[in-house]
Amino acid sequence: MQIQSELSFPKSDYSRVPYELYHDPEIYRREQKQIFQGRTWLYAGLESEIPKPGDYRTTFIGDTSVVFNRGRDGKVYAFVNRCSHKGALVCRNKAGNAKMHTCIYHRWSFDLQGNLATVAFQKGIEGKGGMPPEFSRKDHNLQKLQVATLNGVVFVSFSDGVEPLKEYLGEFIVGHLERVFREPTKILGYQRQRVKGNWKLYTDNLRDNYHGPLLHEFQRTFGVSRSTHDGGSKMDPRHRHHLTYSTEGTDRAEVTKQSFAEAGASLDRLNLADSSMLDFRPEANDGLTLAICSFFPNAAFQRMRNSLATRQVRTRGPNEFELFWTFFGYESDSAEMTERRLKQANMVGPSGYVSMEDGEVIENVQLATEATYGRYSVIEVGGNGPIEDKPFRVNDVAIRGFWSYYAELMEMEPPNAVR
Amino acid sequence: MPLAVKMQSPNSQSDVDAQTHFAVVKFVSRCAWLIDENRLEEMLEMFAESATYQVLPLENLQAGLPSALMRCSSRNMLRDRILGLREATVFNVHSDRHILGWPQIDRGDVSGEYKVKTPFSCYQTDQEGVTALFAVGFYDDIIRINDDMGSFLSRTVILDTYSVPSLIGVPL
Repeated sequence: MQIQSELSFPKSDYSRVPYELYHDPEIYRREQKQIFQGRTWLYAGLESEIPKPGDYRTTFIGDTSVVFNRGRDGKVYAFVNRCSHKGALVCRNKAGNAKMHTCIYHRWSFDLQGNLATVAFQKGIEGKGGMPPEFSRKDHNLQKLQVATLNGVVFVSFSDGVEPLKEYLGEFIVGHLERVFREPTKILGYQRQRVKGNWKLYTDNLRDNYHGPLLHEFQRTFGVSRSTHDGGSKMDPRHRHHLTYSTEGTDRAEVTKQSFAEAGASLDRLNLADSSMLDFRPEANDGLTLAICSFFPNAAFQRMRNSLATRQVRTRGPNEFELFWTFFGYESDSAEMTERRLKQANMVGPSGYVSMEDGEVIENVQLATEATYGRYSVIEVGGNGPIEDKPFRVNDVAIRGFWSYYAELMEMEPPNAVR
Repeated sequence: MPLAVKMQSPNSQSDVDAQTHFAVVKFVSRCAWLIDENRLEEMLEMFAESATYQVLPLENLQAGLPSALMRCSSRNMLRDRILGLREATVFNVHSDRHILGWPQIDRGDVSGEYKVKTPFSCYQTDQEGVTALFAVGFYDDIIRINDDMGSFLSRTVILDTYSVPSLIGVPL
């Protein structure tokens, strides 16, 4: 399928991204197939959401309703939530426990692995009717997805050809996830933010280290994370995922003041009347206060001091996505630690001091790039050319990394494309 | 033939007199009015110093999960949130309009305190004059009423519309 010429990347290093990619319905349709149902792993949920056999949850992978559940053998299975008969939803509830999944339309019943178990009137009624003799139930199972779990995080794939999960993630990202999910988790709750913008504006935003302290004035004002803190930005070998990390209290006052003054951004103007939200208990023995992993294509795994969450991107057409947050702690948390996590979550989510602004600015971009043809965003902070890790935080190279893998999956790589 | 419906169930604690009932209605509706008028600092004064304020998604309430969108464990935290809105946080330019329903009022555990549940809707209008329903839910409050003066001891905004359109910056 030929992509129109104006929807190509004009530069081989992806330092120019056409705005039409955030609007074009054909591109969106192609993404559902090539990205969300392509050679990728996608974040579905957490094992702690389905502890007992029969427990299930529905989620969305791109536009597709997907069920993941715990089988009788204790393993996690996932399938597309679409009856193999006439396409009705099989699980109509968001979550629950079931011995079998039965479609309400004609009562076709599926086991927890998605195998078709019973068909009403398969042999007809009193010998009349029923399915043709060659009908075999095992030809009509639900569309099963590959499942891989890592420390209780559930990933699914539509593809039989995708590399094993750990390879897909890369060693460094595996290490981060193993640290965030080093103990059994306990769900604290869900939050949803429905943003009127294209989903890729969010994946850009996650990988954009440049904007943090500049947009998020609250952060900069209270010193939660400043560009001048020690930290870094690192990708997997194929540059599709990204980890941004930093440590508080590691910048020098004079350097900080001058750098921000040069950026026209003021610091430390506000005093909190109740600063208990900033009370932080170091946990992971790596000295980090902030570590956010962006996972290609549909998630982020956040450690912001003691606030831990997964963020899943659910597409809702080219102009909207829902950011689905799962907040968690550990089973071993004291009541005090749980309270600390809940309070620090004031920084994130749809009312998050930080996150609300990402929503706002993404909507601004979507609005301003309507009906924009032959124009491109500029991605050059920290350098252009090869996509590689940088030893300084102020860079958005990882954004180009995302686009390089995107272009590969979408079969849109420009000549001499960097990877 | 339909059964006559009793105005109060025999187990209800609420024989709240009309004057108190009216004082509660005035109090709750004033809070919503002040938000709509962007008089957030005056709204803050309606909260006791140790009052808590949180916005809780209905799906978390139903699942027994504690995670809240806004979680202020003191009036000072709510003050900080409002100050943040004025001075730091960027959020969508809009105006709010709350439309409330009649509150359900029960006597609280302590004399002079009332448990009040009020359904609300909040519409947002953008700079182009387009109004959309933004959020629906109910306020779950404990309010102290003394001689027609009121004070929130706690407020939980239960958010039916937990797939939040864009963001919630201003307290609901």
